[in-house]
Amino acid sequence: MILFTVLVILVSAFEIMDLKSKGQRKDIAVYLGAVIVTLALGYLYLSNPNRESIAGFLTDMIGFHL
Amino acid sequence: MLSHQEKISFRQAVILFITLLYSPAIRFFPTQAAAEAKQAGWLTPLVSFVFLLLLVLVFHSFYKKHRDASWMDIICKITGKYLGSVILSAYIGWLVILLVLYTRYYAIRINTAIAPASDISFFIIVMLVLVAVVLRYGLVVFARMGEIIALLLLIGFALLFVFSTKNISIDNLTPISRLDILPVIKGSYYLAGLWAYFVVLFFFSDKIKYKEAIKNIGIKGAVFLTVMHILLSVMTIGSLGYSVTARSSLPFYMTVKNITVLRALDRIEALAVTQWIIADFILIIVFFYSILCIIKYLFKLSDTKFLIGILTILMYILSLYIAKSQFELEEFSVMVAIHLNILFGFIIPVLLLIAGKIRQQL
Repeated sequence: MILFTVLVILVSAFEIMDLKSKGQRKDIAVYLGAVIVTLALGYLYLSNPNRESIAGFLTDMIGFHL
Repeated sequence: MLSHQEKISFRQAVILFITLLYSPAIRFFPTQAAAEAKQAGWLTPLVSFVFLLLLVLVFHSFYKKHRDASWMDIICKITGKYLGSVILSAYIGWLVILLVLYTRYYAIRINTAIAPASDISFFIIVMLVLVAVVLRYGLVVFARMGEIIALLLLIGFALLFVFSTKNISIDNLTPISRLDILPVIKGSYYLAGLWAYFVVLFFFSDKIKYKEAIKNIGIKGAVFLTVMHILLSVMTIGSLGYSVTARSSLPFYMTVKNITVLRALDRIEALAVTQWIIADFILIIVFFYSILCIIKYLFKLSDTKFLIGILTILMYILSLYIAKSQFELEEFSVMVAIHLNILFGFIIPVLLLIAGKIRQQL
């Protein structure tokens, strides 16, 4: 979890600094959206890797059970 | 000339399509064809050919009038900005599911075939990092890689087919009667589901030149794919029989493992595994690039290279999160993913064509 957070922060810091220097605000907003989705899904998975998978969730949703 | 314009030809795009199909076809198609059509499974590509032909003609109609438009432009032109954005978001969801599904399949396959005691995370990281590096160089670079890889795959496949001919039994491929017509049609659905990836090429169609050749090159590509898939099913069902092929998760690998050349050279399955890995690379990179193209269009971005790093991390997490086991992954492919392919690859383009004709925008 810590390694994952550090990796996301490092990659994001590098890209955001680059985008900021070019003054691309819209790109930064899209990038932050991607960071939030990555962190949310990363924490969800890493907090319990044995929880129901995406495949299990989707098949349950359409009425099948794996 | 085209590389200066960051554009590729439609021929290169079709080669990318043929190359990206190699891996899912050898994993998924023989099993499903044998399960549905039994000994007549090798005839299923003939019916799927009709589906692909229809798809080629659908896209030929789209691009007759809008030659320089991307698939995203055409969707939004026909359905309007808001519904178009919803459809494109759904396409992103579909492509992300496919990307992580195939990344996980690639890792499991290496794990099963050559490195059983290894952690699949390592293989996923290696593949995604390589994809991220090559993506930064753009479409032209990996389209050219695709041409070289397609040639290597073709030579490798031809060699494996020739070596396996002495294991092929006509008894495993016959008898064929009129009673096989319905099972063959049913079995062709799965292959048509894979050939539905043809639509993916058009997410970067604004970077594809010579789209007036969609019909001509598309039909040639469809004929080539039909012949290749007939040979593939003859090789697997003919060597193993339909019963073993239908029950096996890697029938092509089993067929190749049975090959012995001149009673001296065996274990040439290494060649099959190498081919699989490079075909997976093309598959993953094309899907990743298509996702970036849709994001670029939806958010009106000037470039998407800055998203490659963070999306690579996201794809890594999703590749692990997609399924808990190989069983779950395979069941998901048959029960959900293949129907999604038909929906996004066939049904939506055909509906859009009808809507476009009614609204006189095509």
